[in-house]
Amino acid sequence: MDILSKYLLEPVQYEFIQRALIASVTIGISCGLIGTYIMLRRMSLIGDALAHAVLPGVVVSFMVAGKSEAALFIGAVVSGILTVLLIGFVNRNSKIKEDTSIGIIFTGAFALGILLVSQLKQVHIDLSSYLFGDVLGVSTGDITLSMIIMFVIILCIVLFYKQLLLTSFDPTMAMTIGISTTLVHYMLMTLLSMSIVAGLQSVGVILIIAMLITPPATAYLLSSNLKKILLLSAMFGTISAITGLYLSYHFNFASGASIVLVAVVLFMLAFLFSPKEGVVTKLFRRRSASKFVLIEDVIKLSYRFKDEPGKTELVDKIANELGISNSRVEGVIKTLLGKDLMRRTNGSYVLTDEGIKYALRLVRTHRLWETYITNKNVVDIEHIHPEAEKLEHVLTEDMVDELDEELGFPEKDPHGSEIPRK
Amino acid sequence: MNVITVKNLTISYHKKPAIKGVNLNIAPGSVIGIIGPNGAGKSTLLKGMLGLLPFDTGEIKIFGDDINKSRKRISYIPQREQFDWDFPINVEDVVMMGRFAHLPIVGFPKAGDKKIVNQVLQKVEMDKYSKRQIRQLSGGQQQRVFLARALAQESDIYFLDEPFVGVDAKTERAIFGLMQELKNNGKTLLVVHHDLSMVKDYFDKLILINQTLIAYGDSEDVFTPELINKTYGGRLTMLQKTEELVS
Ligand SMILES: Nc1ncnc2c1ncn2[C@@H]1O[C@H](COP(=O)(O)OP(=O)(O)OP(=O)(O)O)[C@@H](O)[C@H]1O
Ligand SMILES: [Mg+2]
Repeated sequence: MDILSKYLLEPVQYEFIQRALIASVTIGISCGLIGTYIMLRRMSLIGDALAHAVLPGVVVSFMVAGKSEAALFIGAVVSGILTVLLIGFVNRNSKIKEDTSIGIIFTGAFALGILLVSQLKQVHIDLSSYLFGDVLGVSTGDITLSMIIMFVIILCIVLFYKQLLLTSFDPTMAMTIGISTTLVHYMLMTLLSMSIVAGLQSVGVILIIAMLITPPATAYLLSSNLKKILLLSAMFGTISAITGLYLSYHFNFASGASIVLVAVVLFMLAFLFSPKEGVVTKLFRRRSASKFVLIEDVIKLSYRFKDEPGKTELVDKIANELGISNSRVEGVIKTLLGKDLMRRTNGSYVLTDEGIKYALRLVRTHRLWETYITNKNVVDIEHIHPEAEKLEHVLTEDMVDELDEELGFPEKDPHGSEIPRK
Repeated sequence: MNVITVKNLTISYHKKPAIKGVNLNIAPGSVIGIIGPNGAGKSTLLKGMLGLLPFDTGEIKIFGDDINKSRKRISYIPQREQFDWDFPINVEDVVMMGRFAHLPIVGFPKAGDKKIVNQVLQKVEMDKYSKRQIRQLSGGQQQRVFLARALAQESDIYFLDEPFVGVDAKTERAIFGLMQELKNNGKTLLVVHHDLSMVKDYFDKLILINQTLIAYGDSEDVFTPELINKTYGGRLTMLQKTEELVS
């Protein structure tokens, strides 16, 4: 409890930490939500570009209005939108491809911003806090601004959910039913510029792109439902922001960098262990799947070779048929003995009644499945699954019955072997 | 009244015409095949009629008026390769997009829309898969889902770009059955197709196109060796070549 309060609660008593926490959470949510659409529309590059391209707007707003959140906001959004318009203009009027024009325009805008900063000796802009973020220096005005931005973003996503969805997934259909893809694009670009403004103070220009794409990518690995991805992404953004902030407080790390690194660690965890897509998960699943396939194969073969005189002959035959070592076959048989699917008799192993039933079910499935893939266009099936023959191990009993019915309860398989009835 | 009128339509990409001077009058209640070799401009014609591409010359009327007046009544099923199959969306949500045409700008789907979605999913026999992510479907099933989406839109004109590509015989029959049913309900279907077998069985009328309109008429009349040859075999005429050079 003491440790907990020391590490978790102690920082919160400072007002600047409270402000930093609120600011981080709001940008975690804003960037997580907008970033999901940026990722799905493959616009990460333009996200990065905009983050840099708001600099001249920020500087000009300083020149005109001094340190004012409203001016900063307007300056940044205006220069963001101008950049997007300029990129589009270059695209439409030359054969330069989009990624190239993005590269040209945003570096140009960024350079212009740096030039302006260097010329403005009388106005003090801390360029390094702009570049790398300084979440501990967040003001009350900054918080108000980023809260407003967060609510606008949430509101737009809720109200225009279907327009955003359709233009992201199928812009052609969107146009045929009269949804303006251009309008939606500019709405998204405005929201993007806004979320960048919100994130500048805490994460900085260089790293803000990470808040826009890393949490959504993490969420995307964990779900294939857009609404869940939006929620998860906002959640990962928030977790990264809070955790990063604590790390930055306790270890005196640069706040932007530690927030981003937490986001990347979350991504790596999802990449390795996601239940559906994780690299490590897949490895385990493949191993347990192949073990399961092996067990079923041994049952089937024990049934086929049930007349072998002794256990060495039986194990030999099975090992030969499957192309694996005798000791592996014995290992599997041991498992089967444990499950009461096999038992020992004088000098050999035989299937129990339960085992025979299992074996017959496997034979039936196998022969029905073979009949099915022969009747159907085999190419089609191989297209669905490269190892078609392994699919028989995943068919449930209901599916097998359905298959049987669809095939009209055949008596023989394509090789002429009898298909056992239920 | 004609459902679609196309007058002297020319559409170019980067100043090179993809289709030139096309004239068509399409009456309701028929299934029309658009036939031609790769690159003939079939998809371009379709997108042009949908008002998705700017055109150099010509005029298109849908129900005798500007297309923007009848967008709800038109649905389009694009070529399959156009989609990102990893998009986080399931079958049911794709089909619901068909209802978007009828919702107000900030409206959400209602119970009635969900009912329609279920009905069309049953119709294409995909109701069992309503929660599946679209990558986890076979090619034929994917095609059915997009067909269901068009049905959910309850439109009067259907534009289909190569609906039979990558589907098995069963799905092909199912799609054909649906097309007939729609036609019998007075709908108009324009179907891009580039396989010449079955053409006469599938389509009442044919549009033969290879940059210019080669022929348009009843399948019986225009599906002749000469016209097909002209559409597929015939290289560009000298006149077309020189035109290409000066354009
Ligand atoms: N977006 C584009 N930009 C430039 N050229 C294009 C574009 N789309 C099509 N074209 C060109 O226009 C011509 C007609 O293309 P279109 O896609 O209409 O042909 P198609 O008949 O549908 O061919 P396919 O059978 O291959 O689908 C082709 O020469 C093609 O290269
Ligand atoms: Mg095409």
